[in-house]
Amino acid sequence: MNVIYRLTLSEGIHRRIFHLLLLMTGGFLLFYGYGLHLVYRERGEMILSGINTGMIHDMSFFFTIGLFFASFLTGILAILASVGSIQGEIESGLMYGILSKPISRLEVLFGKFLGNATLFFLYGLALFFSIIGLNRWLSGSTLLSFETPYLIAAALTFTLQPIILLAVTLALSTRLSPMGSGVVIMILYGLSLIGGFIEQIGIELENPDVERLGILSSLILPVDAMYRMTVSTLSNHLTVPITIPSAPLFGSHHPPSLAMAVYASLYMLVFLGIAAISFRKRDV
Amino acid sequence: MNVIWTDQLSKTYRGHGGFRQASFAVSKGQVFGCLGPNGAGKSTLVKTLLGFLRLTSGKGLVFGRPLGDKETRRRIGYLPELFRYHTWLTGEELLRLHGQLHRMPESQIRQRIPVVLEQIGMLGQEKKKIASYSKGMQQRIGLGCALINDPELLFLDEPTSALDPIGRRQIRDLLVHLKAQGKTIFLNSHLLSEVEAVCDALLILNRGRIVVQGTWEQLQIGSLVGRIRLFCREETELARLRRLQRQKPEWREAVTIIEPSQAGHHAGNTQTEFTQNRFTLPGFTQTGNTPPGITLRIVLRTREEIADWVARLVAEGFAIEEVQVEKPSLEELFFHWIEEKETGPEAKQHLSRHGEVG
Repeated sequence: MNVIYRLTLSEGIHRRIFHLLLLMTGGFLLFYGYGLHLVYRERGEMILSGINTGMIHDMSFFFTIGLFFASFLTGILAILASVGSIQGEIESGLMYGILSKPISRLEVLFGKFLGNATLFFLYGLALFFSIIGLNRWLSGSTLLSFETPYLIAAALTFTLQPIILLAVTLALSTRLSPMGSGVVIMILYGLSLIGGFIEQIGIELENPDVERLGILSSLILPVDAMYRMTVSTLSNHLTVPITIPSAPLFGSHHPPSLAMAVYASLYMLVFLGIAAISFRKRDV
Repeated sequence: MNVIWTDQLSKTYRGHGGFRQASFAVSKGQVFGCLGPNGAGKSTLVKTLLGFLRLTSGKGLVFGRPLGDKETRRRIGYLPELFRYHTWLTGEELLRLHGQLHRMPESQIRQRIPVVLEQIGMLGQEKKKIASYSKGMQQRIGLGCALINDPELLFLDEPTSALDPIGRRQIRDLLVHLKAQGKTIFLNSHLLSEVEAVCDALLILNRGRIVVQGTWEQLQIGSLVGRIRLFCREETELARLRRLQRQKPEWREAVTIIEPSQAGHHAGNTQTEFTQNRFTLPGFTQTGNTPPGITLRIVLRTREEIADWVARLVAEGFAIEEVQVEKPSLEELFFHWIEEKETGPEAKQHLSRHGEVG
């Protein structure tokens, strides 16, 4: 498994799509940073005069929107990098050279999972702290300082998103072509994101039916729920005794419970198990 | 000792495709060829033997262990028909990776890499990225990956499909070298010359079924042809031959009479040589009155059987001018057996009598 793990890491780093994504991520951070710079320059006088609601509103809005796009990027990376993991490699012939060696299919699968998960975790972590860092640096404010355990918890729920997507995509790729897996997982991911918006709208409108629809989408694919959990963890655990109000749609008016985090973790393990059984039983 | 053994092994996809009821054995040190037209089931057979595909029915063992056994794979090398490797690695890194996948110690990998590079004719190319390799070079490095663990059993699925004639020759020489080292090789190919050059035994698959299998000698049964040219003294000899065919079933089944008027059409170059020899044989003078010679085309079960036929003809009072046994080429054998299966033995015999199938 160790060889496959290292091979997957190496493959991920050498993939053109990863280079492209890094380039685009750099572009996004520059663009985002420049936007923050423009906003916070206007608010400069207010910052100097201390905490005020306008600044907190701006900070909240731009921080959550940055975090949302960052989580979207990690999701896209997870999908694109893992969509051809099994069937794609069988179709291309890459898998035959590996499976003819004294190595079990489970070792191949778990090696691929861990290799990709490491890559996505590191990428997600880098993005997460880049967004926080940019906001802190460009606002010139220490408002965005979080209690360490909650910062770690938020980073974990944030990086869990691509890993959940990885487990589901791996399971799909044991049976479907890269195109087929891509279509299914993109629809599920889209459903999860839209479901998240619907849930926030339901809360705003105080319409429990609409809210439940959002929760249902989180049960189908608990990726957006992890994003909402990240946002709520951060906004409720600042080192200063205030709460950042949630930005509309991108925030979290009604944070998911701890049970949802447990559910998401189990969900990921179940799909990993499905991937293992499906790959072990199939013809290659 | 059998390295590969199967009994009624079948792999089908919902009752279609694949192959059915394959029973054969490959012994240690044998180079075993698997021939067949496209879609015959050759690659499916190899993939089943390697455990990539779950068998539908029957039994199979490799090194006495069930198909796909993980530990057995330590002793196996495989070059897939569809080869693709990690393009960002160099040739050397790829060989190292495959050594690591075999769980070979690093010292052993270091020792094997130059040996393998030499074997596949890629010394000096190992520092280049796979992405820069031509298709032929990728196939060679793929063969290197199959050889890195110094396997006892090699599965090669169309190993020269991307190679130029020089490359094919080199791989053929390598196979001969590996054979001399006592390796067992299962060679899947539709290149008849490749199989003919290196294989000791083979099986022919057509439409998922084994048409025939065995050693060269065994496969030649039914397609080994003897040509006996009679020295004709009288016009009546042709009539005598025809009478013998009517009276004796074995003459009827095995012998085709090629009359002088048909000779050029049926016998080709061999007949021309006979005709030329007729005038140059020492001790004979062509008078112009002697009737032209008759050639008998005889289907033999063994090479030695030709002597029996000579004895029978002499006993019947015929004079023999020349005797030849034609060893069929693999191409002739291949078509012989494929057509035998397609048309059935009777039709085959019919075609054979008319000189259309050899």
